[in-house]
Amino acid sequence: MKVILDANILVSLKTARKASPIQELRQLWLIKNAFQVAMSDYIHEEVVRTLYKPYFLSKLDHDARIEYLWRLRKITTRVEVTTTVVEAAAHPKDDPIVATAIDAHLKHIITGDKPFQRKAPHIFETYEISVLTPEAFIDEEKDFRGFSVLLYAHHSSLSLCGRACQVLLRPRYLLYEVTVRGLRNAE
Amino acid sequence: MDSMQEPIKQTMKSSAVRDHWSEVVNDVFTKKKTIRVKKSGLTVLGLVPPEDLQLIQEFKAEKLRVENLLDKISTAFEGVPEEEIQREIEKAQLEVWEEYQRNTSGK
Repeated sequence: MKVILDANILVSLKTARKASPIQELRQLWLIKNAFQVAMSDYIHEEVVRTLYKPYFLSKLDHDARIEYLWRLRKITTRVEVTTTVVEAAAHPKDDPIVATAIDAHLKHIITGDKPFQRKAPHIFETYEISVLTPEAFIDEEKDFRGFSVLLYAHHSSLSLCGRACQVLLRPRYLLYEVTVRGLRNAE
Repeated sequence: MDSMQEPIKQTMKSSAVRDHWSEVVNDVFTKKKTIRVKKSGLTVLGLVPPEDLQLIQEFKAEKLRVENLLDKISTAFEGVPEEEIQREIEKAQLEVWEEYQRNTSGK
């Protein structure tokens, strides 16, 4: 699975405390390889400029900042954005993030920005892209992994059609090819 | 002209992989095929040429380096309230957007 991490998440990763959702997201991405990340020049530029604001300049070591920005390019997939999105997000600064997801054909944007999250239903309806908090994404990821195992273990069993089916029938889960296949198997 | 070839991708059932193992090994090694192995509709395994395996290992190592780096630099924020950090990120991002607007409208 590949997702878009909003610039505020990519900056927050640096400040994450133990046992916080951001820390868990970081582990899922960097240690467990549960998902990959796509990034546009716009998002990278946003991260760079944010980290060069006085608050972060005063806290972060110069070399560490440069190293992070450089390595971030190496571990993400670059997306060339040609689509223009207008008034999809709550603030125009987030429209290019939606455009990145569209051009990368991705279905998840993870953001810590609350106004952006509030526009999630509209963005999902229009573009079939889920805008999720780190917490919501982690929950989905756990459900997804759990049910993948369940589907694998009980693919021919009617016992699947309990809570698992209800969860899998939520519109956002139908975006997963593997889940749809799993449901077909259950029929 | 571009002489690079797209890698050959294939999906196989695990039973077919078992039945044609020698052929599969040959395809991956000589034809540089990437094979997605499925069992009961789920991908359970990927078979890749050794060069790709090296790339995957290097990529994972790079991610671990980022994790270690983040671990090291997150100490700079110890004791700083979460709300303060979020407020500063939001403020910085709005400023970045205003700068971006100014730069693009000036072009």
